[in-house]
Amino acid sequence: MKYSIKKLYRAPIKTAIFILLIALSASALSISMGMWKYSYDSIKYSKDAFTTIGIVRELEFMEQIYTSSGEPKYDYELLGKVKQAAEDSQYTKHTDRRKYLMGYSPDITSFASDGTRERFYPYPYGIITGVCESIGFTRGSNYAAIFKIDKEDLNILPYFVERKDPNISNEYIYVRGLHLTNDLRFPFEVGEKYIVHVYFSGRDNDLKMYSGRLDYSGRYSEIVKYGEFYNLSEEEKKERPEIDRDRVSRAYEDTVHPFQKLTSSAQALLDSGDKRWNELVNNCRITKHSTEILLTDDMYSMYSFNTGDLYIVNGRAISKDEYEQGAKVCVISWNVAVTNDLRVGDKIKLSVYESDFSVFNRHIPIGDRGSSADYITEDIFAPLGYRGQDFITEAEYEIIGEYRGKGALDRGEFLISHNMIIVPSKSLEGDFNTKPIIAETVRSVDGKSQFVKKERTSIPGSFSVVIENGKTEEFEKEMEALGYGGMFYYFDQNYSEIAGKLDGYMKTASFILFISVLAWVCIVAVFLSIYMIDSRKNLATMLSLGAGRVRAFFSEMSGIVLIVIIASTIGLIAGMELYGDVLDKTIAAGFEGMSAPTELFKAMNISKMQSTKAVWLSAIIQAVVLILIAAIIECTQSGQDVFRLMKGLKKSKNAKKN
Amino acid sequence: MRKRTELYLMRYGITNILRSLPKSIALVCAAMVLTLSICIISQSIVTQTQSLEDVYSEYIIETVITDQFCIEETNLAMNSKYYNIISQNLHGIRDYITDIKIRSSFSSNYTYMFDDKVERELGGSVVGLTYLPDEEEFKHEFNLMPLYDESILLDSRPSCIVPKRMMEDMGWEYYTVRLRYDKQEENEFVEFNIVGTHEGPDNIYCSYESFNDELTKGTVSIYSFRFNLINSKYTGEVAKILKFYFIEPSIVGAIRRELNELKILFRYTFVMPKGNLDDVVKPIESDIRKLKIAEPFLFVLSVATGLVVSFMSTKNRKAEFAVMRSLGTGKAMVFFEAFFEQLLLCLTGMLLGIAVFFAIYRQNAVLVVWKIAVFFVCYMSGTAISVLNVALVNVMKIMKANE
Repeated sequence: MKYSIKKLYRAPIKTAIFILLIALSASALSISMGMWKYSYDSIKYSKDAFTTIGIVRELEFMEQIYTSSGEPKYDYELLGKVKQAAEDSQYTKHTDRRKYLMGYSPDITSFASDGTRERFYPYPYGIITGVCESIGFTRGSNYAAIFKIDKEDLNILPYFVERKDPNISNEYIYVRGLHLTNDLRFPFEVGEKYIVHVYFSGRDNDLKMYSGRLDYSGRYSEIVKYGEFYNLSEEEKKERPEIDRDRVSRAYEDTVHPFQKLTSSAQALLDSGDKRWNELVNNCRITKHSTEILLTDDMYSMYSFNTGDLYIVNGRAISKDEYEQGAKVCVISWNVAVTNDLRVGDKIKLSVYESDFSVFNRHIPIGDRGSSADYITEDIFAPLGYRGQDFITEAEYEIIGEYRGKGALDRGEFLISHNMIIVPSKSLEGDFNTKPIIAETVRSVDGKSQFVKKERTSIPGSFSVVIENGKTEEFEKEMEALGYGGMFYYFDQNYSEIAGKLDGYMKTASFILFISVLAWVCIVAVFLSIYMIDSRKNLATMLSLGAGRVRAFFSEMSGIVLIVIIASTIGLIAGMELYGDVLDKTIAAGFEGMSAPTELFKAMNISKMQSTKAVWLSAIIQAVVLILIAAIIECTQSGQDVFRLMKGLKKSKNAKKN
Repeated sequence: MRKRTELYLMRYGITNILRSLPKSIALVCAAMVLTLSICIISQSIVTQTQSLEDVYSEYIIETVITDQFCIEETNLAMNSKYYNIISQNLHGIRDYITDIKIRSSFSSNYTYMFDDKVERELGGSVVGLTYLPDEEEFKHEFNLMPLYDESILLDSRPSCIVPKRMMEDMGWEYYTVRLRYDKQEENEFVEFNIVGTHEGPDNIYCSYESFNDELTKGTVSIYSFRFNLINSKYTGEVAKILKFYFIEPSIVGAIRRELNELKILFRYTFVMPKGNLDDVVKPIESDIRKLKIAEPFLFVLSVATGLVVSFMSTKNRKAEFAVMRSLGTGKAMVFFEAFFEQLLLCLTGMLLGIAVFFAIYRQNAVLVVWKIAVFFVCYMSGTAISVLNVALVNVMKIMKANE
C-alpha cells in the first residue's frame, strides 16, 4: 500500500489528471441526478395538483317538491348503496361526506344582498319595531302595511338593510301579510306601534323602501296551518265594503300572528319576560350573526372548487395535513370577509350549533334575463337557523384563505351559499346531520291537492368520491358491473389532456439523466483503459519479483481506491456547491415578490432537500461502482499468468515498434 | 518528401488507433456522448419550454367583470366608457385577450327605416354586442350571412343582426337598415349593414362600437363584460392591465374611493379564476429555470471533461514519442501524428453524437454550433497541450525518465 501511495505522488501530474477526470464526471453525474430528482418531484407535484372526482346528482334520485316536477330517474333507496359502492371501489382514493353546521359569533354579521329566499335564507329575517302608517289590500298577498321604523327601539335588520342603499329609505318598511284576523279585519291598526317578526324580501323600487313579508314558521306550507281561505257571503260583502274581493285568508287564532301591539317599547316587552318574543328576538339575533359551517375532508372534491367555479382568491386552501389533524383552520367566502372586515390570519370564535333544514324550490332561468326566459327547477336545502337549540361546542378558527366564485354564489346541489365557511371535518367531533330532512310538497291524490311529506336522508351535493387520476373509465366499469352505470358524473380538471404532456416532460428529464450516465460510463471506460495499462505493467513486475497475487492486487487497488475517494470527494463537494447554487437561484427567482410562503414554496424546498440528497447519494454510489469495476479488472489481471501478463506487454511493445 | 512523411504518419496514426481498439472506442464514445449531452441539454430547454406552452394552452382562463362585491356578473350598469379599454387597446390589452364578450343593456325607443324610406317604430329593443350569442343566451338562433364572421361585431363598421321575419317582410330586398335612437336630441338615422338574422322577437343586435359611439352616443350602459385570455401564461400581464380600471380581487373590503384611468370611480371587480394552473405550471417553470441556470455549468463540465480526457489519453504515450524522436522523427511530425489521431477520434465521436441527436429529435433538433465548436477546440487543445509538453522536451530526458 505504501508503494502504491508513493507511486501516486511520484507522478503527480498524472495522478492529478486522473483525479480531475473522475471528479468532473462525478460532479456532472451528481448534478444530473439531482436535477432529475427535482424534475421528478416537480412533475409529481403538478400531477398531484389534479383531483378527479365522481359525483352523483342526488336530485336524480328524489321527487322534487315543485308541483310539476317529473319522476326521479332512479329510486331513492339506491342512493345509499351507490355511495357505498363508490367508497368500496379499488380506484377510490377517498370519499368526502360533507356535513353542515352553523356557528354563531356576535362579531360576525351574515351577508345578504336581498331577500331572495333561496340564496340568502334565513338571514333576511328581522325584527322591526315601528308604527303602522297605512294598511290596505294588495293584489299579490292579502294586505300590505307600511311601518315607520322606530330607530330608538329594538330592531334587528339584515345586512343589506343596515348597509344603506342611497336609493332606498331604511326608515320605512312595506310589510305584506296573508292572514286577516279571524273576524276578517286587518291585523294592524294605523297609528299603533308594533313589534314585527318579518322576512325582508327585498326592495320596492316604486315606493323606495324595503319590503318584507310576515313569515309564520319559515316553511311556506305551514302558512296554511295558521289560517284558511274564506269566501265572503253576499251579506258580508255588503257589511264590509272595504274588502274588495270575494275570497280572503284569515287566521284561525289571532295569537299566531308574528307581531304584537306594543304599549311601550319592544325592550320593555322583552324585559317583562315574554317568552315567545324573547325567543323570537334571540333566534333572529343569533341567526343574523351566524355563518354556515361546511365540514369536509377535501375542498377540491366539491364540484364548485374542482371545476374552478369557486376558487381561492386570498391565502390558500386547507392542506392535507390540516385535514388529517383536524386543524382549527378555515376558508371563508369573500362576501363574509368583506362584510366583516376579516382578513387571512384573523381568528373567529364560533359557538357551533346544528340547524334543521327546510327544502325550497329554486327556479333557474334559461336564457337572458332581459328577454323572456324559461326556467328549470331544483330543490335546495336551506338551514332554518337558530331556533333555540343547544350549542354543541365553541371553536376558534384561523382564517387561512378566502374563496369567491366566477359568478354569484347561490344555494344549490353543486353550489355554495354566501355565508359558508369551510373547515376540516375532524376539527369538530360528533355525528352531524343524522336527522332526516322533511321535504313537503303538494301532490294530487284522488283528484285533490294534498300535502305530501318526503323524507331525505342526506343533503344533495354533500357526497363526492375522489378517484385516482386517470382511472375514471375503470371506476365507471366497476360501477356498471354493480348496476350503477351512468349514475356518476366525472370531473378531472383536465387531467386527461395534460397528463400526457407532463409525462412527455418527464421523459425528456429522464433522457438527460440517461445521457449523463452514459457519459459517465464512457469517461470511466477511458480512465480505466488508460490506468489499467500501467497497472498491468506494475502487476507483471510485482508478480515476477515474487510478490503474492493477493498482495499485488491490494497494492494496485489501494492506488485506485485513493484516487477514486479523493476524486469523488472533490466531485461531491463541487457538485453540491454548484447544485445548491443553481437551486437557490431557481427557488429565489420563482417566488420573487411573494410575501408569504405558499404550499408550493414549501413543496419546492422539500424537493430541494430531497434532490440534494440524490446528489451526494449518486456521488457515493458512483465511487463504489467505480471501485468495484476496478476491483474486478484488477482481480482478473492479478489472476493471470505472469508470462501472459508480460507477453501482453511485450506484444504491445512490439506492435508499437512496427 | 514531406508529403510522403505526413501520409505515412497518418497511416501510422490509423494503425495505432486500430491496435489499441478498446481505448479508441472508449475515446470515440466519450466524445460522442459528451457532444450528445451538450446538444441534448440545450435542446431540452427548448423541448421543456414547448411542453410548458402545451400545458398553458390546455387552460382556458375566462376573465369576468363583476360588481364591487362580486355578486353579479350581469346587469352591471357599467359606464360605456369601459369599452374604450378594448376599442383603444389600452395598455395593449388586445394582444393578450380573445373572445371578447361585451353586451349593452336592452335599449328601447328606436325607429328604423330601410331604403324604402318608411319609418317604422321598433317594437323590440336594440342591443350592442361584440360577439355572436349562442342559442342559450337569448333562446333563439343567430346566423351570420356567408360573407361575414363573428369578428364583424368587434369592428367599428356599423353592422347588425335583425329578425329574420323583418327580412322576409322586406322580401330580402334590403341589406342595410337605418336606426334612430329617439332619445337623441339630434334625431339622426345611422346606417347599419345587415350581417345576419335571428329567429327571435323584434330585437336588433348591433356591433357594440357603432351602437355605442354613433347610435346612442354612449348613453346606454354595459350589461356584461367578459373575455378569455389568448394563452393562460398571460394571466399576470392581463391582471396588471385590469388593475388600472377594476378592483383587484384579492383586496378584502376593497371600496376604492378613487378614480381609475378612465376617470371613473372604481366600482367593478375583475375575476380571473385560474383553477389549479399555478400548482401545475409553477413547478414546471421552476424546473425549466433550474435547467437554464444549470446548463452553462454542465456545458463547462462537459468541455472540461473532454479536455482532460484528450490530455490524459495523449500524455500516456511518452515512451512512444521518445522512440519516434530517437528514430529521427521531428518534433512537428510527432505533434502532427498525435494530433491527427485525436482529431480523427474526436471528429468521429462528434459526428456520431450529432447524428444520434438528429436521429432522436429530427426536424425539431436545434444544433448549437458554437457550443460544439467550443467543445472541439477544448478537446483538441487538451491534445495539443499534452503533445507539445512531450514533443518539446529533450529525447534523452524522456528516455532517462523511462529508465
